[in-house]
Amino acid sequence: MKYPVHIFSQGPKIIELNWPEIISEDILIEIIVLKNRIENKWHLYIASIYHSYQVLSIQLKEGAPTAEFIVWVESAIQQPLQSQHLPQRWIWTVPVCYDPELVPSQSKYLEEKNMDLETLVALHTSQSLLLYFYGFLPGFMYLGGLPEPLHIARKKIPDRKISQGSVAIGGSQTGIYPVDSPGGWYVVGKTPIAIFENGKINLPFNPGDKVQFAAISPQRYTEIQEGSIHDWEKKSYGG
Amino acid sequence: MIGKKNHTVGKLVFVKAGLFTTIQDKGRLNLVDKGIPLSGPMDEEAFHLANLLVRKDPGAACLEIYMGNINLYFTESCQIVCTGANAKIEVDSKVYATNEIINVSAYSRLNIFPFSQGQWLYMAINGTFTSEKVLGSQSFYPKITPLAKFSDSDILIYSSSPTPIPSDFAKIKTKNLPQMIFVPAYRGPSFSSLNKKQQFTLTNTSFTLSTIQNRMGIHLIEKLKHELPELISSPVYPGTVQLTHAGKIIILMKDAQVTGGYHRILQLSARGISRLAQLRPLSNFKFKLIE
Repeated sequence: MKYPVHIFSQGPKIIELNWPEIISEDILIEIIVLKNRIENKWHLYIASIYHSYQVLSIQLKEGAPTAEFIVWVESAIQQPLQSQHLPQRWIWTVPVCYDPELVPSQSKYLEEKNMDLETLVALHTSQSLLLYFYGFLPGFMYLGGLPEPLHIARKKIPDRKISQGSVAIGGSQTGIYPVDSPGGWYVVGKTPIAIFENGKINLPFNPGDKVQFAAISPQRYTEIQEGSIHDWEKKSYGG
Repeated sequence: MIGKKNHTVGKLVFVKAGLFTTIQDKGRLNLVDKGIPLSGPMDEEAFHLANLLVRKDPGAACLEIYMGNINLYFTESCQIVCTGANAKIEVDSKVYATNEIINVSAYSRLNIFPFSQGQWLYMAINGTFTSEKVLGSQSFYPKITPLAKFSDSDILIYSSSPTPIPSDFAKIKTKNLPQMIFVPAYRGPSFSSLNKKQQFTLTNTSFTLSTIQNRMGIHLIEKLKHELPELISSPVYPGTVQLTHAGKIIILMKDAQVTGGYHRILQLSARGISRLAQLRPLSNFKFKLIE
């Protein structure tokens, strides 16, 4: 690995690998590569493995050979990054409707920013955003790369309910609310794709992939919402 | 020739469903990487014991009941056992305790009185509670499963095993909670960033549970003032002891989110989580560092 990685155990079953506290694509790639190597070798003993920006967490099952595992990881973090362990990455198109009638609360954002709708849409769809990890809510994506002119301080008093499918901005982040939740972010659009439906989770994106928002009309919004399974548009991404 | 005995399918009807009754199994361990909370029983030790007593897999689905005051009946006779909180269980005016197999005949009213100690009780059945599995688990979670909790007059389908459990085996004694509770914990990643005095306070003084608690987490009353810098989000687990910027201490429980941005100062062991879960608001306890 290019970065120094520290191993920290919280008891015999929770082992964490810590990269420097930086939000960067380089670190994310190192985490994904090491995660895949660990999964290949140790899957029988792993209860769960996931990560945030710079912490890779491994929870071992009862009876796992913890000491042996740590020795192996200590040596793995010394080795250079092996790109064959990096999976195929994709840029996924996520349709978003920015129509003021569908998303009336959008006006709060535009007023606060003194911005017009065209600028908001142009900026919000201007570049693809890197998926770092899922957290906060079931299926909530931590996306990086929101253009600076769109940043906005979070609401001091969170709204009691941001509805499922809302696309919102808070601080330097943007994301989709997969389920209804209270929240302090400003809603700017809505996606017609249901992330949780009939006991299934509709989230084909993996950390390391990118998400590209694409503006759609209210008519298209309804069509997608009423359609059965969404046909995801994606193209390959080389990093 | 031995005839194959069939399971009997019946309905459990909640007349009075109580404050927070759910189904819990071992939870959704495989989906934490999609941000799905783990879920599962608040008191895992009591949950395992309940399943053990009805000779089931330790992770089989049980009813999790909060604080008692429940009234229900089964439309087919069955055997159940309750573990966890100390409670009086009444079936047809006969009174039972926790940890004993109870034979319940069809349509008998089963009353679970308000608990005398503890908060969470597990009811296991000699058979199966057959609710829908969502994302690999029967554990209730708002917005993921159709129900977030049971309400009065809700119905749960179960099947009753044709093989009864004999009631002549040695009974496991119901235990009383000791005066001072020690909650075992490992050092969290930010523990070493606290100064010696803060570390001493955390591991040697008594803390009090506030009334702010649910399946997601428990807030403590005492604060721990500090000047640690703010952090970016990292993984969190049931049993993670978080320290907010304002010095508030929050202990995450089974339905907690999978990442969080606060300092992680301690990590409770599985036993620590079970112990803490049974403590009521305003109870005192001490963290006990595991070396």
